[in-house]
Amino acid sequence: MKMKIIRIMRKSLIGIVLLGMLLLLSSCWDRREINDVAFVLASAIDKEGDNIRVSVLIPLPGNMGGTGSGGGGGSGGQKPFAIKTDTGKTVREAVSKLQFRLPRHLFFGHRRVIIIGEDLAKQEGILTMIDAVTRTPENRLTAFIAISEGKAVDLLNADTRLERFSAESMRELLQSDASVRVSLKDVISKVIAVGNDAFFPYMEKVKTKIKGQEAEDILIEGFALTHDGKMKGVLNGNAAIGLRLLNHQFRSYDETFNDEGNYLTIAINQADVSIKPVMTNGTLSFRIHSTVKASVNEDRNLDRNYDDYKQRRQIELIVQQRVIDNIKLAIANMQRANSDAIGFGLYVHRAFPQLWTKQYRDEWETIFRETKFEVTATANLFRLGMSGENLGRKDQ
Amino acid sequence: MPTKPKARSMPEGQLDHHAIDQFKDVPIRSTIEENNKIMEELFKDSSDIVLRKFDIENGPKAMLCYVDGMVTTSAVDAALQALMIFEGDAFTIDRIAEQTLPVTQASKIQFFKELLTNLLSGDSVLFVDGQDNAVCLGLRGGIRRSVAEPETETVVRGPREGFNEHLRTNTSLVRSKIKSPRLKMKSFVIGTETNTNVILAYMAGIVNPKLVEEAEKRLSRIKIDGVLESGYIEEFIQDQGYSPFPQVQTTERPDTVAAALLEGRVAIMVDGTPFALIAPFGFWQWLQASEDYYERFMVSTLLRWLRMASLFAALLSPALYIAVSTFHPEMIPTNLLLSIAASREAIPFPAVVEALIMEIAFEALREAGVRLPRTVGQAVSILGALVVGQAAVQAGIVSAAMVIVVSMTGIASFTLPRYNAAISIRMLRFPLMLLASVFGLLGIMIGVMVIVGHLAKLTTFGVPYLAPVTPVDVSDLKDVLVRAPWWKMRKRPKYLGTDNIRRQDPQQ
Repeated sequence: MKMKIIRIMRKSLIGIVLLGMLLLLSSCWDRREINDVAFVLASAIDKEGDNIRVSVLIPLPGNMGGTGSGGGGGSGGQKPFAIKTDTGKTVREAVSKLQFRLPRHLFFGHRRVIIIGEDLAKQEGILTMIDAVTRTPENRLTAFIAISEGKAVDLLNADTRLERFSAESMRELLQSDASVRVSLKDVISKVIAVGNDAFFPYMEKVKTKIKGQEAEDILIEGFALTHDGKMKGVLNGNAAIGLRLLNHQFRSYDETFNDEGNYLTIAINQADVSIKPVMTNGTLSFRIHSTVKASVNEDRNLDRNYDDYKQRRQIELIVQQRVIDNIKLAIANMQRANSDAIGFGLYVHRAFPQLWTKQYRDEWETIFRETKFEVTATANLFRLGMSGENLGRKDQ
Repeated sequence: MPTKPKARSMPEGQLDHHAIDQFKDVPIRSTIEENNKIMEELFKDSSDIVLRKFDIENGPKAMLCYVDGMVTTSAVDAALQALMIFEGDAFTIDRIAEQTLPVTQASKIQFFKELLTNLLSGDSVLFVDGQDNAVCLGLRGGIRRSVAEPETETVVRGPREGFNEHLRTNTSLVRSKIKSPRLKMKSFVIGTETNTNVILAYMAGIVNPKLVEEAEKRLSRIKIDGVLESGYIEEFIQDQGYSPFPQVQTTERPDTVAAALLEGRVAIMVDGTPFALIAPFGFWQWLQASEDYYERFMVSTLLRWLRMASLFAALLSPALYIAVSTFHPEMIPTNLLLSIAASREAIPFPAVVEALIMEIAFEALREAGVRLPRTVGQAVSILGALVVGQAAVQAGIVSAAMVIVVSMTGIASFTLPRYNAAISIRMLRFPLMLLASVFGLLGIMIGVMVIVGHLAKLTTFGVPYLAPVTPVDVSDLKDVLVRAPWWKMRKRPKYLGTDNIRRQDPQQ
């Protein structure tokens, strides 16, 4: 009996010692207090000579005016964030050099925005950047990625005043109707596909110059087109609208038309696009049909009678024509940049899989430039607004 | 259903003071003098025992014994009066017991053991000279607390009566709910010195007979000098002594006892405490409040889900906060994380130390509030709210986020209707916090797995603790994950092993 107890005690003692050693052995000890972490909310990657400059935006919790932050609310003119930057031959080298200068551990798990400078995108391309930001598990594949006009770091530093951090403004903008959501994940899936090229929101910094209200805003100007990972051109204005119409992820927008001297603002609320590759006599062409639903936002023509079908139809025709023009413009631009941002190649692949692998796949770059597109559209004016007629018109 | 009992008996032959048992075979003497001598010797230095000697009118001497304060004095007076003006010549004890005395309960006794038991329970005992029997008069009385609202289990809707310290009051409260001869109340006397009356109640014909047998066996095995509360009994009869979880339900409510009896459980009521025991008691009863069955079923179902969520919150929220904030900050939404970071910026402690400080302070406050007189208790809660809630945050010792987590945990633990289950949950969150601080979410997973494994292994009177969820019985789930409307709960819980499964007429 006694022997048995001693044996059990010895066994459990050994067990406890072994368990205790486990604590000392823990090699993957990633415990880190929040106070010791610098959360990167956004980073900007630029080219600087032969080097790559990485800039990160880090919020300063002490300056965010949270209650109980000891030093009191920090609204005293200090910005609630810091921007740190360093250079290196690779992105990771720059980051680790940056890390040596910081007392807190850089943590990329909350990075929601990555901005790439135009120079870098044009000269070196984004493919190497994608490797840098996807290789470590800390990075979010749902982070938005965009290309900036000029230096990317300037966008980080923008003082938008509406949000605490420029990163937050950019994130909100990039997921708003002003843009098409492009996350790291989307870019990767487009980059690896043959017959598809990535496009990015193209952002620039603009200034509000009202006295006492000076601020810097970030504007989504259009879309940057790439081919083989290198930036080849920019779609803006109507061409950008065309890209949005072609893209399946449609976001509503409005557009102003000149109808015989009267300006008319129409909102495009819904759009469906059908893209069909067609083979006629051995030549490939595309038939694109866009169906949009439009509504009237503002009409400067006081005499228009919306009860009249013909006048409504006229508006629809104007919209229809503009949709066709926009799409054509976008395609022309894409062909000029040789960037298949919509993935027309993939449509061919799905429609004619054998032909694609045999004939088109390897030469898609050259074929895409010369492919013909036949664009049609249907517009449906389905909403006239609250009043249905111009309330500014005198009663007759 | 109950499996073989766990060995839990006291080693034999160690209890040497069977005070009353010594008088088992001592007969009552036939002369007053002898009886008086025995009694005086027994109750030497016992000022509360009254030995009243008197003469029956025209007859022999007599002696009435009772414990002062445990009898109704006016009834004793009436009995004495009836005896003193006794007329006639036949002085048999039978005649006194059956005809003379204006007393509801009167019985003859022959041995001193019986006499002492009755006397010390509050009966009055009458010796008559020349008789070797004594008459036991049920004139119990004395001051006791009236039936009041149960303080630990209050309801908005439902009966407001609760048990008190008097066993007969308690059994009558249950009997008045279940007016059926099937309701059995088996009596036990436990405690060699206290001789505490214990009642095992069950519904014959509904309960699994093996369960009753098992309960009887476990009760009769208890050999202890005294039983002052049902907690003594609980620890002796539970299946697994070294478990953090209660395996017997305690309740102050007669309606809860009645409902359990009707389901086929057994109840154990102990004299001297308002807390009755109900067994078997499984995990899912933790979440069942008596009011669930009185309120509308949709509301009750939602409340049950709320309690389920609260159970997890009470167990896990401080641990999750520690794990997520120190190991996995990517799991917190960015803006929330920044708020937490801002509130933690000037805090000198790691999250786990902060959490432990706050949780221990909270437990101390709670304990102080329970123990202190009610008037002082309020001062404690004000002090706690000010010191812990505000001053500590302003001084930058703990973060506001942590105060929120701790108070949410506290509130969540108070939503559990079973106090004994809630305290075991509160206890278990400390090891989970330590695990979380060392291994992060992985540690919490390990802790939860250990707890779930233990729960799965645990039994309560032979019934699996997690029944009816595992082992699963779909028809029993109607009172577990939801509270089905009454007209759908046609059957008694199957896992209790009842033979009498129907509780409603299928043709109704």
